[in-house]
Amino acid sequence: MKKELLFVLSMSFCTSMSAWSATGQGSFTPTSVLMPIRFISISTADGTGGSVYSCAADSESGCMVDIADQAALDALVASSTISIADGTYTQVSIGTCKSETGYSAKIKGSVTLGAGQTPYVTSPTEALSTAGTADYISASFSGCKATFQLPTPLVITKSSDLTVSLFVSLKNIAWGSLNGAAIPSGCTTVSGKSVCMAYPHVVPYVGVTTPTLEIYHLRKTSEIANSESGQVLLFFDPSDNMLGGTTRRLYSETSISLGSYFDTPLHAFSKNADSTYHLENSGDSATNSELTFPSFSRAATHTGTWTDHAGVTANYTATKQ
Amino acid sequence: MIRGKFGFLLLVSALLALVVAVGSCGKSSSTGKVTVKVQKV
Repeated sequence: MKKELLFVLSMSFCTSMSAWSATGQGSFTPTSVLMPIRFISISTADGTGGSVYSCAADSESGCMVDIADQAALDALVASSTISIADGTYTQVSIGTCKSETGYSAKIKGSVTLGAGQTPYVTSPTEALSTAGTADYISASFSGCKATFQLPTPLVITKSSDLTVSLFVSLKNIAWGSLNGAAIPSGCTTVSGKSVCMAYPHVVPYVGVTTPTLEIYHLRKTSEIANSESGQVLLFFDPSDNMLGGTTRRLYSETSISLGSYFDTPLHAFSKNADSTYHLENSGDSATNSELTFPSFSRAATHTGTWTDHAGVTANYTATKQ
Repeated sequence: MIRGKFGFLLLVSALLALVVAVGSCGKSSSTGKVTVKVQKV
């Protein structure tokens, strides 16, 4: 998926080396997202793993879970307490397919598009329709497994009885467009109208807590107001400790695309002495970063500088939602 | 002499078996419990 997104980025450079905006596009929060959760596993640093959840049905359709429905997610927990070999586990993986090379998710929701803010609903026959009620559309994703680093190692011993929490937000995770799909994966397109969804990256946590979510919308400071096209989502525990976060694209009538800058979860974060945060989202390998924010502030509005994967710095403006 | 070599090999084999047995005890296959909880925020 990452290579595909890089392809989109390279196309953006080819268009004129400048960012662009398009009307007839907008982000939205789906009312329902059916994902095939085939397995959840944890693994040690040397790759030794153990399954903590395995879908009983051996098919995509039999393993669909509505990740917008907390009751459905709670039902997953009911069957996920397992015994696992002693060890120090550092990663958690979510499998969405097995021998296949990809999978399909089903998305349902509504979005307003165009200068007239016309309401559209997701439609299996039109992708986006101005008539009827929202119905599921199917979006294809490449890849079968997403792996996330645990913020603290999960040490399993004979007497352990631990919980791994996986936090997920669907806020503005999808977008509709009347101008075709912006990316080749995670979309469905019918006659130029498309609906896409970013991968719902999770923030893993060893234990149980009730996190709060902060969302920031970002644009390059050099671009016009209201051209924000990036989101930074940060999760905090009740003691205000950062648990992790993710980035995702943001579309609006006036957004100016930043390519694949905002497609990946945070893989490094720490608090600075001045209470700002050092943030990095994942790049195209296990170790590099797409964007690095050395001093990300939680103020209502702040300006700062990011450095991209190529070492190019730019000033940005972030607005807390 | 032969009995001596045989006895030595027997002793080495016994020691190796003991080491393996002790090692197996250290690598207990005992298990802890893990629950995974997915939470929408």
